[in-house]
Order: sequence, then C-alpha cells, then structure tokens
Amino acid sequence: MAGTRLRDKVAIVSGAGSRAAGIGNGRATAILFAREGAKVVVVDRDLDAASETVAHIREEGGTAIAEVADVTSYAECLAAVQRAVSEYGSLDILHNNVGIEGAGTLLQTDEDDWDRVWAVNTKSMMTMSKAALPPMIASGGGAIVNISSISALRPRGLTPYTVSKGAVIALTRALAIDHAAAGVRVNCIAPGPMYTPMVFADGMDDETRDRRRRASPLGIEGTGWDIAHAAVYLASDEARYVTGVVLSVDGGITLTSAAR
Amino acid sequence: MRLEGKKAVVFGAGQTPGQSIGNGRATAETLAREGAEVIAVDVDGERAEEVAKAIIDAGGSASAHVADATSEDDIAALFERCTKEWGRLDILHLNVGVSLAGGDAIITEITPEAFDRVTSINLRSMVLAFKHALPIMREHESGSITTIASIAAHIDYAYVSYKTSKAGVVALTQHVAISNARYGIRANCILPGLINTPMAVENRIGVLAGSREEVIATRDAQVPLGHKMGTGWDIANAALFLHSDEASFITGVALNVDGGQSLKIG
Repeated sequence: MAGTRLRDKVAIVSGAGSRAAGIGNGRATAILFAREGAKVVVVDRDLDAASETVAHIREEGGTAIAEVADVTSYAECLAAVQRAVSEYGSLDILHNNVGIEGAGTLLQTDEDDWDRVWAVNTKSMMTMSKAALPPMIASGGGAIVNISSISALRPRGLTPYTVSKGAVIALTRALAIDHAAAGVRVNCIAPGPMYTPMVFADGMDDETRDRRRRASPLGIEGTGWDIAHAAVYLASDEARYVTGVVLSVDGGITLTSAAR
Repeated sequence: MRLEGKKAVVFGAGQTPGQSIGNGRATAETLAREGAEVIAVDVDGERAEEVAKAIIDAGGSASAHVADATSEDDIAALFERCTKEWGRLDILHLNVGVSLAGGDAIITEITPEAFDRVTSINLRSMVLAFKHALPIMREHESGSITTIASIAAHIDYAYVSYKTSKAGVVALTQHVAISNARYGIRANCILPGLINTPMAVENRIGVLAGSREEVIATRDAQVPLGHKMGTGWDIANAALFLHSDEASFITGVALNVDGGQSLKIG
C-alpha cells in the first residue's frame, strides 16, 4: 500500500457505494482509507455498489469487505459493527457518509419528506455511532467522522437537508464531549459544492457545473477525493488532539455572502 | 512525500528552551520531513540555526534566517531573499506569538506598552508578513498559508492582549483567505488549545503552579480528550495537512486543535 497513516486500523465507511458510476465521497474515502493501510468494511444498502468499491480496493492491493445494511436500523448497524470486529478484530474508525438530498422550503416539504431525510441523514449517524462506540471505548478509543454540509451553516431553500445536517453538527459535538474521556474523537466535515455522482447522477449541464465552480472563491469544484483526504486526516493519529470540530471543505464559500 | 519540492517559510521556528518541543520547531521539522525546503525564521539566531541544523542532520533541506517579525525592514528583507533564492513561495507558516513573556495581564492591570508589545508580536507581525509575502504568491497564482491563533480567542482566557490579538489573527486569516482565493492562494488558521510546549509550560512555573509537574498536571486536567495536553507535533500535523495538496479545496477555516476544550464553552 502506498501509505501508512491508518496502518492496522479497522474502519467502517457507510454509504461507501456510489449512487451512479463514479467516485462519490464515500467510495473515495473507503479507497483512501485502504490506501493508507486500513482494513475497510464497505457498508451500503446496495450490494452491487458496495462490491464495486471493494473490488476497486482489492485491485489496488488493499483489504476490504462489503456489508449490506440499512443504516437507519440500529439492528443492522450493530450487525455491521459485529462483522468488522469478527472479521478484523476491532473497530477504530467510523466514517458516517450516508446522506440524501432534501430540497425545498418548509412550505414545499411534507411530513414524509422530512421523516425520510431525517432518518437517512441524521438518525443513521445516531444508530451507527451507538453501535460503534462500545468496541471503540473497550479498546481505549477511536475516531468517528461524520459528513455534514455547508448547507447547515448557510441555509437556502433546502430546509429538510439543512436541518438534518445541522443536527449532524450537534451530534458530533455532543458525542465529542460525552466520549472524550474515553478517548473517542468525533469530528465532522462540511462539504461545499462538490462534483460527485450524487450531484451529477441526474445530469448536470456545463453551465450549471461552471456556475457551481465559480460559487467557490477558489473558483474550483470539490470532488470526493477532497472529502476523503480530510477524512483521512481526521481519522488518523495526526489528528489525535482534534475533536468536536466542523471542518469546511468548500473552497472558501462559507466566507462569502450566501445568494438567497 | 506530501510536500515534495515546496518552498516554505516558517516563522517562530526557533525553540524556547525547555523539556518539550515547540509548535514552530515541530512544524519546521515536519514540513521538511515531507519534502519542503524550509527557511527557519526566528528573532534568535542561535535558535533558528539549531532547528535548521536538526533538519539538515535528518536529511532535510533548511536554512536559518534571523528576523524580528515586528520590523517591516526585516520582513521585507526575508521575502526579498525568497524571491532571490527561490523565485517563489509555496508555504508560509506564521507561528510567532507571545503572552506572559510579553508582559500581558488582566484588563485592569494591563499597561499600554505591554498591550502594544503583545499585539505587535502576535498580530501586526502577521499583517507585515502578508503584505510582503502575498505579492510573491500571487505572481505564481498559488500558495498555502497557515497562521497560529489560539482557542484563547474563543474561550474564557485571563489575559487581554493575548486573547484579543489571537482573535485578530482568526479574522486576519479569513480576510486574507477571501481576498486572495482568486489568486489560488489558500489561508487557514490553526487554534491550538492547551499544548505541552516550552513556551506554555516553562513560563507558568511559579505562576500557575509551583513546579513543572504541577503546571503540566493542572493543564492536563482541563483537557476533555483523555485528560492530556497536546504536543507541538499535533500542531505540526495540522499544518502539514492544510499545506498539502490534500487540502486544496480548503481555505478560510479555523481549525481547533484542542482536545475538545472549546466544546466546554457556548
């Protein structure tokens, strides 16, 4: 393997398949974790998507297994954690990447939309973290990385999504302080405008893509690899004194005034 | 190597005498280990030389440079040297800072002289460094900057000059980030919490507690994460990440490296 920054660590990455062909945040993170020496449990609700990520990792000489789970179910999260422990002996890193979009203002949102976005984006991080914490605490510590969004910091017309991702920040900070003494670090990443399969799966014209690029002060778009690199840093011992942070990976967009 | 071939200037790279490693020295050594060529800047020539020598002995590339970060002439000369020797500047790490040693005090006891001295070292020095470094980075439309602020900017902190100057560093870094993004320059701020550095520990013996061990124990107890202070290496690793291409979509962030201490406020 190319790197050693996560050598001997066991990691679960949720949402590590990809909604469409290509490299999303979850798949990129699973691949980079493996490149840095971690053994990776690739969790997705879709076996084919998870298996594709595993195949990619194994082709590079890395170690990974696929695990199908609906991460909104605590029982299925528990099974995924047990698989990691039985297969690789421990659990050191949990990367909570699962998420779906939730567009519209509150007036455009019905109860079912709200519940669905909340379950996938927020409850999943609760269920997965609750399942993962005991083995981490038992082994003296661990690292959890949650994917929030700059939409939590900069709301505009995606209210169900914004609220679900804001709760991810609150959950991150709560877990960070509650389990600090046990040596568990909990941080989150707030991605800005990314060019990932979740975003381009339904098609994106060049004009829209260019507008999204220009929205960031750096004038570039992010990719799954940018999120994955941030996740490697936060999951690794290089960040052993970092907990409870919200790391924006957004090309500086949160420094600007939001277009509303 | 994560910084292969990059040209880096590290301010405050010298080491306050003590029993642990300082943030500046740890950062200079880490950037060099990852392939950067480092100019180790310090107001104390011997300390700068010592760090440069340690880097060279470890197989890295470095040289020392003496500069008083509060002197615009010194700063201008340093960056003229960069232009002359390198023709470019990829990494700028601003680590200069002082608190108790600068005469800082609580607000009812602060002297104007001490406030000016601390602010000049902690904040004005960075303004001057940016003024002279940014034109070099702009010319090549790339560059990465990290500044060292402190969670003192956010938490309940006793001494007025340090707190306010470090809060200024956060604002200054964001200002530089937003106004230079169009040139491909990234600027990020690191906010250390309680770190076991010589500057933090040695200066508090006899102030915070009687002995070195007591100072360390008092500070360790305040840290949520495992009840232990961080080290200079934790700051260095944060700087390494932010300066590497891994962080090419990250600018304007204020990254706490504090073991969760800032979670206790708010």
